[in-house]
Amino acid sequence: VISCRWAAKLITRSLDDVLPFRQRVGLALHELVCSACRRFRRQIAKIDKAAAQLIGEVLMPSRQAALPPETKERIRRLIRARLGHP
Amino acid sequence: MTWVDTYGDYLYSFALARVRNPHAAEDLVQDTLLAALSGQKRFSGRATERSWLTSILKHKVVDWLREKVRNRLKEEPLPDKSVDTMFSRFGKWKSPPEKWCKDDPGREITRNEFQEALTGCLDKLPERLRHAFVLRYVDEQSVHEICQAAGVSAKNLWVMLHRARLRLWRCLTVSWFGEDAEVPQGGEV
Repeated sequence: VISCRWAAKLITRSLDDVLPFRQRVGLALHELVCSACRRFRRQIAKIDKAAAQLIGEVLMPSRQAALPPETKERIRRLIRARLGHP
Repeated sequence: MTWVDTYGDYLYSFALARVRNPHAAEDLVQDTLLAALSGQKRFSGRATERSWLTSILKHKVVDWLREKVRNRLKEEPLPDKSVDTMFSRFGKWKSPPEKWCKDDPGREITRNEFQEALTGCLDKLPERLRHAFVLRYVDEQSVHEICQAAGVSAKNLWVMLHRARLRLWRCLTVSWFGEDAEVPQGGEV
């Protein structure tokens, strides 16, 4: 029988990789009798889904930042130089 | 209007949200626009200009994070007390996962609230864990490919990802589960 510590590790690992057969069976048996780890898996899955949307697809909310004016000017100068304009 | 004026703030926000370092984010935007300038002929016009620039920036963000993760994971990660103490000597949860009472996946506003909470918790992660976690989600490859590209062992990256997730989970349990005592009906998660 595997421990909750080990089950938690397998649960997070399963988000990134297909677990070997034996580990899958061990985890399934553990979750059959452990409601805490079942709940942990649901909550971790929710975090995984939200992270994929937040980081992979969209801008993080309330994170609108402005490029500092001096940096904008620096980049404009670099682009002008690259284009061969004085 | 130049690219800098039209897309500068957007690109900067995109980079800053992921690398959390203003100087690095500024440099990444600069590199992106200069790279776009030399690659302008390759812009097919099928995508919008903004999404084309964003995809160049995304690659640069991935490269930046890979470099950070590579430097961090040259050695085996040290033990993480904050995660180890979540379990007893016998491997049982010290405080088992509680129901997230505010949760109701059907409501749009709740999803935004959850993402806000997640953003706050991401900021509380130690930098090394945040870099590994963000790289995992910003890079569209598998962990094996990420590790190959970054030149680190998958085992080490998994340790970091496991720690990052446990810390995020605990942080969200506090910020998400806490304060609000009114439990909405149904939708147990």
